[in-house]
Amino acid sequence: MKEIIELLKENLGNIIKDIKVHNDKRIYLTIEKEDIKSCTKIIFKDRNARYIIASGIENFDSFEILYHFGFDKSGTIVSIRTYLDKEKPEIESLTDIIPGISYIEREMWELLGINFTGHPELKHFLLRDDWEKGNYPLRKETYEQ
Amino acid sequence: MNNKQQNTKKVVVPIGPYHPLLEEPEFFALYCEGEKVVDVEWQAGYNHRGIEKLSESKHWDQVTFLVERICGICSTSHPFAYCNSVEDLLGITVPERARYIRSIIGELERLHSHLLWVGLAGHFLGYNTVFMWAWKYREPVLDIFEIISGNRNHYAMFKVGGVRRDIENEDIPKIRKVLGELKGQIEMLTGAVLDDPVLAARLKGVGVLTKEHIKNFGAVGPVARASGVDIDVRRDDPYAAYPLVEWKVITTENGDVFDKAVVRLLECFESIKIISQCLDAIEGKKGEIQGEIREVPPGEGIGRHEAPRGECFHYIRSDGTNRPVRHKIRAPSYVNIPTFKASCIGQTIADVAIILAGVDPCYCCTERVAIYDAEKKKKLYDFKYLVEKSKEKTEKIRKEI
Amino acid sequence: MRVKKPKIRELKEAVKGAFSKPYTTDFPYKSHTPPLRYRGKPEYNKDVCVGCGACFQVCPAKAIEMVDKIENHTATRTLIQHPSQCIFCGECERNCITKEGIKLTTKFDIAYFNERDTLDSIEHKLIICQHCGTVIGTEKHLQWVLKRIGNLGFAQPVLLTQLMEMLKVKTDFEEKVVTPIQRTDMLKIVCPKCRRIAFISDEKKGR
Repeated sequence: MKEIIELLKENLGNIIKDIKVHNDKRIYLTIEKEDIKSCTKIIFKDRNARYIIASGIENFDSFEILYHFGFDKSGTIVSIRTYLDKEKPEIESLTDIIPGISYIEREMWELLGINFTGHPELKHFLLRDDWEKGNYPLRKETYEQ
Repeated sequence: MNNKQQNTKKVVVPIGPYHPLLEEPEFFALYCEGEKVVDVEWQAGYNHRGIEKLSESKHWDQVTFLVERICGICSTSHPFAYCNSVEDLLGITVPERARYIRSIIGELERLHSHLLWVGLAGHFLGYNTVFMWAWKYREPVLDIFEIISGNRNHYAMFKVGGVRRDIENEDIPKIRKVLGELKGQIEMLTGAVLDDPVLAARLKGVGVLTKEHIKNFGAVGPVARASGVDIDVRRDDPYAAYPLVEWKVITTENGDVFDKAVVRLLECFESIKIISQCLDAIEGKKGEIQGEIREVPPGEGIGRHEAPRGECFHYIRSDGTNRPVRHKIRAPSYVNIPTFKASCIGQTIADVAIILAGVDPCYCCTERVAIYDAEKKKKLYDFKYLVEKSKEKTEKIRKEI
Repeated sequence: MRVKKPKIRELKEAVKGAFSKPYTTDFPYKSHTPPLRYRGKPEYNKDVCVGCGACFQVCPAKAIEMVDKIENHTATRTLIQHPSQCIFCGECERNCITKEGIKLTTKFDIAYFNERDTLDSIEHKLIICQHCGTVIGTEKHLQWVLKRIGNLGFAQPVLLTQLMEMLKVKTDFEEKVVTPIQRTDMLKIVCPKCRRIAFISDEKKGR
């Protein structure tokens, strides 16, 4: 586990804003959303981590996306956390680096309303094609209705 | 090429995703020129039930019952990964007897799931006897589940911090008897698959996935292990009783459908070995099956489990109240099914059914397939036709050998 | 030839399969007994259930319904179990405070034309506040608590009335409490909010 932290600090350097080590197999990094592409290139391509999935969460004052990557030799999961603006959540799409990530980005777009710029085909994945715009099922305000 | 793809006006015969003839709802559209497949499109969501949203309204113990019902075949994988994630948040370890019981249930499930797959693969190729026999060998495993846990599917055995029910000593000889018979029967099935020249000609070299493809899509489970990528959550991130017993990870090199079948059949033997060792460890002994949990503090946790189809991943976040704030679930088929983009392009229509089945999509997939002509965008055939074509090709090969 | 020898091993299985019975049972022509720990339809035990409502609170599928009906001066609580919603998980049985009040039987053949034929329900007498009418608890639940805490029960007025009830002593505790509440009303059957008003404010002053 220590080697992975050293590795990340050495490769990402000052991109990392915060490291949280939950236990020896779960590490959480926080970075700015502008650095996500360079960070993914380093972790996925150079360091050869495995892409697991991305989760989108709605907080009180922001949106948050966690990208989970796995280092299988040691069984560690490194999750990269970025915060997005609450009014207009937007981030660059990572489909050109990881082709398989396009489905979860479509799902996050239609269920949470996060816009992925540069995505090749941002259309409905799980919901009906004529679902009404602006109705994001996984957001908290729809719960109170 | 480009202007053909932009023309999205299609003539479709509406046999909707829910139809008496079809088994599961999901939709693949294959665009083909002549006999070769040019492009594939996947429309999902017919089985979407809003489970992540429902999870936010149930309390921590009730969520186990909710996630159990995501799938019928891998019904234990989701509670297993969920309990691992809450235990990761709390930082506790489970009592030892409970770890053995969890592994027993997980491996019994792997056995019945792989046997089900072998039967389905046989059906798609035209070997209906394999289908009938594999499902017959599966029945004693389901009866064992009914004796231990009270139900053939949806076992309700998992709880955060332990297991709900104990395995009684009087049931253990019955489990051993079933495993003993099953070993001989799976050996016969494995021999039949490996030695048959028709199957070898039909499945070798079909639907090949290279290591590059596996990395780009993040594929897991037997799909990845058949292509030589050595990943298995039970060994890399140990949990339950897997670090306490002896077993090995099966990998092969070629990445075609034949190798996927071999990996799944050989994994069954490893499962039988694990269950026997776990039964030796708990027989005749007594122990705690439940740890003490009072409340869940704020934080986040990640848990995973090697389901029969791959790595099942749950992420949970808590704010100190008695229900999760966010529960992210990723089933293994979510990352395995998109590999069709790499494995189906360039193959013939007759092979598509078996390639899609080789990924072992979990219960909400590929049965709904339709073929479109790439030029005119007109729908030509449906899934029954594909299965027929696949069977015809097998017959043709058998005559040649 | 290489193909012949493997086929012999399969032939043996084919012959065995052709001459043995099919694996399916003969249900419904023959009855089927499920194994001992099979999780079937839950049923209430009329003598043991105390009507606390714990099963209603933990059911993941919301299959147990609790209806409190208060009219004139009688109050009843009815717990109804709907097998059509039930997921047969066993949480009601595990969380029952008496351990025997609701149990999962091995009944699995519960198809019906009319749902009312399969509903399992149990009714209890409710104790309500004599001033404001809120629900305090069922009579049997309070007696269950009294049995568990023994002598300490004498310090609580509501439990004291239950003790009198169990000993069949006649009391005048059950007359209606009218406003303004005064301190002597503290010993009548009142809910905690009304007892606080009686004890602290003692509205009928000048006595």
